[in-house]
Amino acid sequence: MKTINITVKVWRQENAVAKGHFEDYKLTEIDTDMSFLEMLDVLNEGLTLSGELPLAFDSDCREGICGMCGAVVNGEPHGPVKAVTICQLHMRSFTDGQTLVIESWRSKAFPVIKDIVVDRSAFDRIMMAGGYISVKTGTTTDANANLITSDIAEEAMDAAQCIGCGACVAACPNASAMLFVGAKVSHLSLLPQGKIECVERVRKMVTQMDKEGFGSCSNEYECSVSCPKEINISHIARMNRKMIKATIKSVVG
Amino acid sequence: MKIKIPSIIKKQIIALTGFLLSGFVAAHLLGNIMIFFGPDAYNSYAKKLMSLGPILYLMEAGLIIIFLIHMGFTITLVIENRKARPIAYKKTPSTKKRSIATRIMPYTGTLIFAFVVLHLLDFKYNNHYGMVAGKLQEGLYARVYESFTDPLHSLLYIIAICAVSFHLTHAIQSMFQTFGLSSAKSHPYLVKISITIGVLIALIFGSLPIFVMVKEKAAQKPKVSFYDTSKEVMHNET
Ligand code: FES
Repeated sequence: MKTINITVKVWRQENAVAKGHFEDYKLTEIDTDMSFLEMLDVLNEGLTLSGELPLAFDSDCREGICGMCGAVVNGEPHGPVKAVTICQLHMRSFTDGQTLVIESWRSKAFPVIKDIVVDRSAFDRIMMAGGYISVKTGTTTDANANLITSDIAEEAMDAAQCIGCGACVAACPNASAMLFVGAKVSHLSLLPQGKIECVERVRKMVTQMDKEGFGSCSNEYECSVSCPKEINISHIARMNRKMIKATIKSVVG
Repeated sequence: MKIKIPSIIKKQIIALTGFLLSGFVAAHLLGNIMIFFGPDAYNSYAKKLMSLGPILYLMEAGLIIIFLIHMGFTITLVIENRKARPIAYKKTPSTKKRSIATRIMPYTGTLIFAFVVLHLLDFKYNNHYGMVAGKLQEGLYARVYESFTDPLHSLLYIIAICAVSFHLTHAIQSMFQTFGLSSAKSHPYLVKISITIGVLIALIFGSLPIFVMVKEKAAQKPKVSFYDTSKEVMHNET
């Protein structure tokens, strides 16, 4: 068993209105086979035993599929390993004696609730604005009733991989949510069930996105690099294309 | 009631106006290549352009409006974007994908604006006389020539051209993305094309002052002469 000693510099903030600050903690003999979140569990155990408040952080599945976890580690959303969420990151990715700066996602649209836990309900409201189809889907249809070519199915699936963790917003220099919204728009508009409301959906979702206070995409492409599901920026391009259609339609009527 | 323009549409307006502006840059570049062909070619080109009269004014007015729209929308977006992250990171995510050109877009843009103002004062709203190889000559060529023999002037010009070049390396591929004209397949090529165009612009425009300086140096040595200056007549204003 290999162990390392590390220092964590983590963002502590009592509640949504309090002013936050960084706190340093030394952790010794951290098993390198531990996951990042298990390391935080160890930290919390120590904090609890010494009578301090444990660090609040989000997690649920710890399998990289739910999108609940997330933190910026040394300037990298979800840490230094490509295409993984922070729950799937292991301590072997770090070296002995290293200092890890752990921060929450930073965005006006994602206010901090406590420590590194942020409120991502802005994403939910964007979904509520148009991220659905209004037809009754009924029971599962016959597998071949709706013919979809394999490349379209693949692309829709790629977009559908988005777990809504918010790393794209965290990574974007403008705290823009375009990759998230683009993925949702793509996912629905590529498939026959979602095609019908496509134009309206784009308009509604983009309007909500703007309302939430996300920044505007300036094509920096940082989002895609930090995305644990490697969602491609071509989904943003598709949304931009659909937005032109939506605007012409709303102007011409 | 205030109509809110969606963020994506704002960017598309920036992209469209940027596209029109780069069209102007391309045309301007083609015109300026005339400098390489000597004073007659360049001056007659300038005269032809001036003879367009009202059409030219109309085009200029249009250009100014396009320029203002491009800047106005960009400024609002930059301010909005800064507001979108009120608390900065201790360790800023980035530098993984962003090129230098991308990062300095607002600054190169500002530099270009400052340069355009200077450039207009220099060449458009200035007399069209200048010293060419020690002789006073009339015509825009002479004015440009004299400016470029001044190293400081040339340096400023080259810096501004580099700003345009950087601006375009990001802008061209960015425009395709913003209009939704790029795909996962075409995007890497678009990035390469953008960079190529940016570098070409820097090389062609940037070589102009160097060309003039070399020519002037050569002209000052008595024996070497690129063209016969004895035939040049000094024109008096009537
Ligand atoms: S906890 Fe579910 S993705 Fe990390």
